[in-house]
Amino acid sequence: MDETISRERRKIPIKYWVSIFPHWREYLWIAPALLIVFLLSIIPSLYTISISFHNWSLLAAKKPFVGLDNYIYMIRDSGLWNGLRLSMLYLVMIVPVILFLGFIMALFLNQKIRFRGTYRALFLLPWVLSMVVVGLNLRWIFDEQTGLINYLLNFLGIKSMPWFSSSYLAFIVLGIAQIWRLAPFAMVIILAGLQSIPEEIIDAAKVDGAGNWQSFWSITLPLVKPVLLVLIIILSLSTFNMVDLIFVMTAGGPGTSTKLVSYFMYEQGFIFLKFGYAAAIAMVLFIVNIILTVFYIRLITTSNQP
Amino acid sequence: MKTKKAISKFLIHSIILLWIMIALVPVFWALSTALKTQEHVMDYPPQLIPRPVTFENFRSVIVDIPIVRYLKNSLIVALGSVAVSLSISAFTAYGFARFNFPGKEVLFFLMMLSMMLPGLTNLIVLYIAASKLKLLDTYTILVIIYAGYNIPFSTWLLRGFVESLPTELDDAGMIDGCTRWGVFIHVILPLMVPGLSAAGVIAFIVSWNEFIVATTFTNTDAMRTLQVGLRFFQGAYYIDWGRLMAASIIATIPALLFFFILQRGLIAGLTKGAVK
Repeated sequence: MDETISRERRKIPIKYWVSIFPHWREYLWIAPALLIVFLLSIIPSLYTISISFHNWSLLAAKKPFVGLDNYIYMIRDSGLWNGLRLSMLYLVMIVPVILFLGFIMALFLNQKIRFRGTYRALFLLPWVLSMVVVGLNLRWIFDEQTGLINYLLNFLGIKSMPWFSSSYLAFIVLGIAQIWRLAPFAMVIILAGLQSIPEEIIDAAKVDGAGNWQSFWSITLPLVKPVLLVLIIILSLSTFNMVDLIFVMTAGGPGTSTKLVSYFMYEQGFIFLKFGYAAAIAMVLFIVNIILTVFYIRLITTSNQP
Repeated sequence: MKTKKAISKFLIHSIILLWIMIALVPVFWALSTALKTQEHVMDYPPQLIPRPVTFENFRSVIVDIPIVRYLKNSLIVALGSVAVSLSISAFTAYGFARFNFPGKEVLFFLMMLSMMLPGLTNLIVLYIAASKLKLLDTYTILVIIYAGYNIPFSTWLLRGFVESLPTELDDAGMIDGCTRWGVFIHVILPLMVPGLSAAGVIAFIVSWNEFIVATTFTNTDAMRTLQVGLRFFQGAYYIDWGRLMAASIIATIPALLFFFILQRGLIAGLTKGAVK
């Protein structure tokens, strides 16, 4: 009697599940990837929220709940505001330069010339270098005593610049590193955008009497605008999460002049080991990231009609 | 008319070449420094072309510091994560491309979201989990985290690739008596090779070049990857630029090789993220 009931119980749920879950086979195909995404991305994000409400240090046995203390401390911490300000400044500094250089390079490579593929590959080369290598290369050419840049400046009769001991200059060199690495990337993306414009449209405009300049402003630019927006978002995301380049080039210094909010978070967590506090800062970054990401996905999934 | 055209072509070529040369100055300078003898590295005025050329820096980097071990670690981790992410994302992409089921686009959106959300904010929780699971300082944790970075992007890339193949192929395979899995393995997978290689190169370069996770999740010299080794190679007060540049060139060669061999597919993959 008991046995039949338990058998019934077992049978019914399976049938029931299959009946409301007729697609289980299909889900099986995507289950492993989804599991990894959940384990490595979504669950950690949610758990970070919980950590941010605790006084969590890796070595301490007790991790007491402290409510909003981390957040209150964070709002009063000048390091956060300095970091956010620097990240914004950094973006304002690099984005126009990267887009401008990338656009000009793309316009050149969009001509019908020989060796186009080779040129494109050579342009993209700095993008293949790792952040560590980029950082070390630039530290060497900007070296204050024996660097190539200061030598060239002296050669032109200009005094050597204290590239890494002046806060302004260190910030600018950090920007140059990112521009050097990402302008070619922008070029490749913009070039693909330019190549997706049907030639007939531009030819038609020329037939209607539009000059080169005019057809650029009224046809080319509006048509690649979605691509530029996507690039701005990618650049913002990479700035708000940039740790490696700072780590290698300046370690946030001199003083706090290159301590962008991303590095500030990393330092609190993995150098000072204040995980609870770092988690609270991570939530700020997380919100910025979510907003940027949702914009991004919107753009690339709805930009079918230009 | 013809000469005018030739002149403008010549101008375009020379501007592009000049630009490339300026952009590659840091790379050239690294190479030049690496080929100098110890006493010429700090010369003032600097030698542009090293005289005499020496491979001493490369030799000493390979012999004196454990760069071979770092290379091995980097290769294991990068190839491991490429293998894991490609094998999982291939059939996931097939699933997303060929089947219809409730919630498909929502789940796909979640994957895209996790692709764009960078690892930085998750690092705290992953670190705690890794230390609880005794996975700190192992290849496994690096392979898993990098696979997590790469799977969403590869799946996205490959989904588009599978969708561009006609469904008649699948139907024909099924009529011939294959199961779905059989169709995937025998019919579709061989046709996915160009897409797989593009996704593979990107995954390799991402994993090979990664620094923050590698430096945070490893702490012994035996487990360091090349990028981390490079970072710790600088002394506290004195930087031996000749050897450092030689090491950084060695660290770049594998990614560069893959890049030049497969750059067409790679560029197609890169631009897919931005241009529809």
